[in-house]
Amino acid sequence: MKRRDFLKFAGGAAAGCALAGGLVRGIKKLAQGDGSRPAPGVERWVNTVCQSCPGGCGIRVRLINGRAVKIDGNPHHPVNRGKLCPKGQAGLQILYNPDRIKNPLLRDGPKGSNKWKNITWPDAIQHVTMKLKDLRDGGLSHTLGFLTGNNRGLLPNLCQRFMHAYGSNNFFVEPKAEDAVNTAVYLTQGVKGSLAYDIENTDYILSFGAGLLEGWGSPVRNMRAYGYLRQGRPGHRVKIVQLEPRLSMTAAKADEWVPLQPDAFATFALGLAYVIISEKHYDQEFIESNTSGFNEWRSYILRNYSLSDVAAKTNVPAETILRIAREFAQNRPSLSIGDSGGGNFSGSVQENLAIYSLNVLVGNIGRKGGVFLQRDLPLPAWHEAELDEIAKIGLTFPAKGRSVSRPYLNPFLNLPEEVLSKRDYPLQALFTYQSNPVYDWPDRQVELAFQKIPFIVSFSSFLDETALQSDIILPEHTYLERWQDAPVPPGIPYMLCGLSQPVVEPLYDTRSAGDVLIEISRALGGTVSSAFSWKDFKEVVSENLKGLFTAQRGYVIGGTAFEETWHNLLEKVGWWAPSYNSAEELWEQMGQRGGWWDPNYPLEDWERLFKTASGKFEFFPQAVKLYIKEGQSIYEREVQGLTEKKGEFYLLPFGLLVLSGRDGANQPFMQEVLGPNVQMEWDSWIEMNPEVARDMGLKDGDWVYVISGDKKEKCRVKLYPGIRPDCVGIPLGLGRKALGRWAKDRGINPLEFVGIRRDPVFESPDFLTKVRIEKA
Amino acid sequence: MARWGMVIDLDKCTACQACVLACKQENNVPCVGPEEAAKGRTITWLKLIPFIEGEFPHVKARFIPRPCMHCDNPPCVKVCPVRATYKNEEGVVGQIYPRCIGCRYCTTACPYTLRYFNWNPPEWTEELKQSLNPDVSIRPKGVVEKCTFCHHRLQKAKEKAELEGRPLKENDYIPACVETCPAEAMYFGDLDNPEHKVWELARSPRAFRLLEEIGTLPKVVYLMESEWQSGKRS
Amino acid sequence: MIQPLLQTGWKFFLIVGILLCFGLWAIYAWLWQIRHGLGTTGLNQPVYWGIYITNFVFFIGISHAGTLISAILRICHAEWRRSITRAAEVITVLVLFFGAGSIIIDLGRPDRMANVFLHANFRSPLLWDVTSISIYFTASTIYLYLPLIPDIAILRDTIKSRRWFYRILALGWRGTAGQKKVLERCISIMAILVIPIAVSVHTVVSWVFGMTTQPMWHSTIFGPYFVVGAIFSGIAALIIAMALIRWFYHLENYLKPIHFNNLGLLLFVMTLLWFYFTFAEYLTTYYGAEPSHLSVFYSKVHGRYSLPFWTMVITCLIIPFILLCNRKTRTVAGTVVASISVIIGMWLERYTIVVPSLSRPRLPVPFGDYHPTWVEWSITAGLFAMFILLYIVFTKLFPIVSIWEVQEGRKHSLTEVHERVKSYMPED
Repeated sequence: MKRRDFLKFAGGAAAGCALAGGLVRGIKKLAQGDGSRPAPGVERWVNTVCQSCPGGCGIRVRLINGRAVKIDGNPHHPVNRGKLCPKGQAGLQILYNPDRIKNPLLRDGPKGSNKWKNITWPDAIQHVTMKLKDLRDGGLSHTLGFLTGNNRGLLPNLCQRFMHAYGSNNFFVEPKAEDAVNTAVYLTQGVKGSLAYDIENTDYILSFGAGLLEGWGSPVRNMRAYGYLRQGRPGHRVKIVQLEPRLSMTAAKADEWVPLQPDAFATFALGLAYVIISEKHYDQEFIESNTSGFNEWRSYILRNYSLSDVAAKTNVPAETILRIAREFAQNRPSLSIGDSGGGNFSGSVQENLAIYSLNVLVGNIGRKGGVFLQRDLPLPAWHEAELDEIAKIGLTFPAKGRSVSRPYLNPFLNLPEEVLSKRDYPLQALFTYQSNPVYDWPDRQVELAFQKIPFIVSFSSFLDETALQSDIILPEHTYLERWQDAPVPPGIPYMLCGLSQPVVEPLYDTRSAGDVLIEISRALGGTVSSAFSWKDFKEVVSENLKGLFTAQRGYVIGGTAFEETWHNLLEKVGWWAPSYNSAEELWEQMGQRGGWWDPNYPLEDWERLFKTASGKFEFFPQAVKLYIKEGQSIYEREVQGLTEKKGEFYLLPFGLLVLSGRDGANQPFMQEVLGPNVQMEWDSWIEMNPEVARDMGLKDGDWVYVISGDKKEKCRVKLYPGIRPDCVGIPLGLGRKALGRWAKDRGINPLEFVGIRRDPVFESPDFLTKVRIEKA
Repeated sequence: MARWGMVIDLDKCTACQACVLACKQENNVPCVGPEEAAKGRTITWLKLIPFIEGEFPHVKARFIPRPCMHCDNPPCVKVCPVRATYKNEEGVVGQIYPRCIGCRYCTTACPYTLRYFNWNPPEWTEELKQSLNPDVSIRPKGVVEKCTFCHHRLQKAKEKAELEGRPLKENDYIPACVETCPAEAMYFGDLDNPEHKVWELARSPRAFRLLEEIGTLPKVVYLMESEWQSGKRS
Repeated sequence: MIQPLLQTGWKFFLIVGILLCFGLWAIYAWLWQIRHGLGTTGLNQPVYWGIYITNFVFFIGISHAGTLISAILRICHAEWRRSITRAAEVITVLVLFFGAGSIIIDLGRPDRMANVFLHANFRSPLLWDVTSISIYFTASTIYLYLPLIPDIAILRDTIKSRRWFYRILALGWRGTAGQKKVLERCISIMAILVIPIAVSVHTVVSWVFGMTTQPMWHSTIFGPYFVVGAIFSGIAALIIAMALIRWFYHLENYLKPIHFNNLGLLLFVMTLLWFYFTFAEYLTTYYGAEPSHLSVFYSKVHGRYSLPFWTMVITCLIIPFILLCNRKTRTVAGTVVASISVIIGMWLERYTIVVPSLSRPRLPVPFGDYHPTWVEWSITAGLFAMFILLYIVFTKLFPIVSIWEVQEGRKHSLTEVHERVKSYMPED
């Protein structure tokens, strides 16, 4: 080899090596990023209350250098005992959601155009105050409305007081699914309030479509109870029967699923009553001493609901009806739970009356393992607000939407129509708090009505569909940034008060809605201002919770299991040995441990339960007799069935646990776990029975049109054998027109197809809807 | 030496998916977004798997929460060319993210399809970055990740026990999924320790393991659903 | 014979240009993939492996064309081999690059490639692959190089340009009897050595799949099945390469119809053998009817993968069978058409082995839908283009038909074959 050759060769080799080395380095640079670790820091845990839904779970938040990094259950909290549902787990995606409203916004374009101007808090409050002042000065105080999505706790009370002092009766609470059963109880027992179910102590559960495991009541409490009923006591397993047209998660987890036609709930329940009555399985003693009109009812049932008739009407085999009725009556205490929650909008008053009456038949009211009425917290009554002349005049105007003939109906039901028809007087201004009827109330007039109201103030933390229609947004803190009381969660028989406190510094320029309301009242001055003696909302909470101390009962949560039992025992024999000696100490301990509770509640408290004229449960209430016409039944709901038209179905808008509560679609965690039964993520779907789909030439994943009236939307079909052939199901909670990047324009909202009909007897809303499906 | 294992009672499980999300929040598992999800790239270390059988009206739908099985005979560990996945002496199958070359052999070898690959760089909005857990490293793109039985919690529990000069107790070390389970359907502990609840439960007549026939010897044990019997009551 | 090395026309540059464009585009696609991650591919969970791994298995399969066929023919003293061995051996060496390269392209972290050596886990079939492919690559390079030496010496002595290059590579070859003897011995040792190595390579490739418990991967016949498939596709690749060389460089005199006929016969045998293995594999699965296996089976037979599957059956069995069983169609054109069909079919065969098994996992996690993206197709096209390009460059640097072996054949083989045939006969 010559020297020159060698040099060439070596040079080439060197260049090659350099090139290769450079390439590897280049690739490394391109590939980028070795894993990293978020900054460590000082760890701290703070107890507070989850408010992703009204479930009222105690939570503890893990903080690292002031950043919230994990939410877990508060191990001592009686509702959840350290456990938490998926919504609770995803709470940080509310706090750290990039689409939160970061400061007050003033509309800067036509209504609904989503054009906003950032303004400061003083400007925002001045703006609202000016408007309210103008109204008052013009003698139009009664034209202010207030709409809240929730009527539990101190804040709604505060709002109501504000409205009263201002001079308006227009305080609205958005209708809830449990309204129907509450109405039924109100009519038959004469009591207003929410029901509580002693699930933990029951022996048999008959659930008429209640989403026990899907957001109904207090979700974690229900799931804990479920685990306990299954395997909590060796050899003692409680049967759960789920009756509904779709194999929901609750139905899948029940012992038995009866795929009942969606309009046959009442008939089926009365069929069970027929068996129980004719076989004399009912609680004779209870019926005799605590009900009136039973004989009349018995003959009504025996006359109209023979086993064979019911079997024929409901298409459920007579043996099944017979068996379930016997099981229900013989495994006492047993619970019959109506379709009241989980976002399912199909319960009517008639149905709930029929379903609830089963509890009465087996004497399960106010007894262990039965149905109770929730108890109010022993909070101090507020002094009567002083009213000026304007307020006094304003309060003479009746609330809009109030039905004279059916006073038990929620006035909000008529509100959209009344606003649009301009009957009596127009609403000039409206506050909305934790309420989003434009999206979640199936009345398409709501949006139009809201466009008609000249001035809408929203407290929303997110730009949801209703906030979009507002004129000014005064964004509220999220629940991890604010003080709030957490009153008794739905469905729970004992008294409980959680304390929600800020666990992080407010991330943005947001404020507590209570503080803002107090500030507005201050700015309005006069009697409106003097109605509020508190400095801010935190003081409202702390002052009112003093009542828990003066009530001389209950204790702060969070002792050891032994302490808990000991307290319990003491209280039962009339002693009270709290861990605190003053209201201030109680407040401090509630902050540390998360809340206060009183686990004892009286059984067979008949005076409290039956407040009718007769002091008994009335099978045929006097109150109703005033307006029911001859031949109308307060129990029956007509079983129609489909008209056998091909392509026509009952629409079942079903609730998902992860999207229950107010929002959820704006949390990516939720979007990733939407429909495990059909393996769907990030989108809506329409569930259809595979055989029907095959007849229509549809495959799994095909696109179809869902049609109802002039409404037509595209949706993806998922074949699911767990749905009746005459029904299709669409999950609730998607199809958002707003609410940020993760929620907007994703899927469809089944409520857009729902038309509200009023039943002829109670005039209560009936949501059962039929839709047509066409191949897209 | 402990042999960590999990027992999931399907009779109690409500298929609520709290475990799924607790896991995601605890372990800094990124959300990949709708477009990537549609391609089948969602990362859920613990996933709820549906088994739906039968035709209407005789349908049975079962839902099984599926974390990593932490097999005693893990097929993934054998096939990794760079020893980036391993089984430690306490039986936990782990993944060394900085070593993984992203060949995805382990993901194909796992019969449970429970190993996840970072197809894209993980992303969080600036706001959501604040909620990341400092105990768990963030994986770069191009590597495989999986359930670790919240191994970082074991390390912390051990440190704490050592500091307090006592041995590790049964409930000192609990993964995030087990901690949150609302129906209390999940149990965790040492499968070799008769004092631990899981020891007893793993020997229940209701106990079974997923794909037992493949011989992977999973350390996640399921308890079958049981039946209601009329009149049976002690 | 050395004419192609001396003359280069515009056609050559045109072809090189086009191929280079493909190659550069592929490099761009690869850099894009490295920058943005494997998310740029159509891969997902559970289809973790796609056409990169298909390419890997396919290229490694093609590599059997050369070394194995040439070694077997050499050992058997098949005289007609003389003009085709070089063309075959080059395929092996070059295509191995792209086989191994496909794996690197498939990595999520190509920057950590070195970990394969730093943290080698010899329990992993992938490491067996790395090992056996490296050995195979080394052995076949030597095996290609040894018979090249005398030809390089000829080039050194005849060509004026690049003389330093040939001088280094010729290793001072003078063609003495001693040198010849050493060379002959080395070649025969390598020929024998290379056969087990080649068989091991493709067996190990099959074990990447066979060692897992995945449905329709976990099969004992995968080793021989893959080896047969490899030889099958290898022969097809060789026929196509030969036809191109023959057409492009006008080597009709060296690559005669008889070569194509003989290779065609070999291909025909492999067609039958391949069918035998495939049939055995699928029948066993079907008959055993294990649900997880059957789910994959049906996805191929009448499910999402039925199109590639039945195309494979047509292109791997029906077309070559019809064309090759008949002497009339076993012409140059006929064998080339059959070979192209087999190449397409064998690529699809690798695809229908890799993807369907992954898309039907044992647990009902969401079933994957795999659609390769532009990145994957670009890189795949680029790999093929670069392979052809390198092949062409080789033909420009070295004679693609072994000059000395053909000369030697002319001189000696007639008498040698005469002697050999005589030795088969009973003594008079």
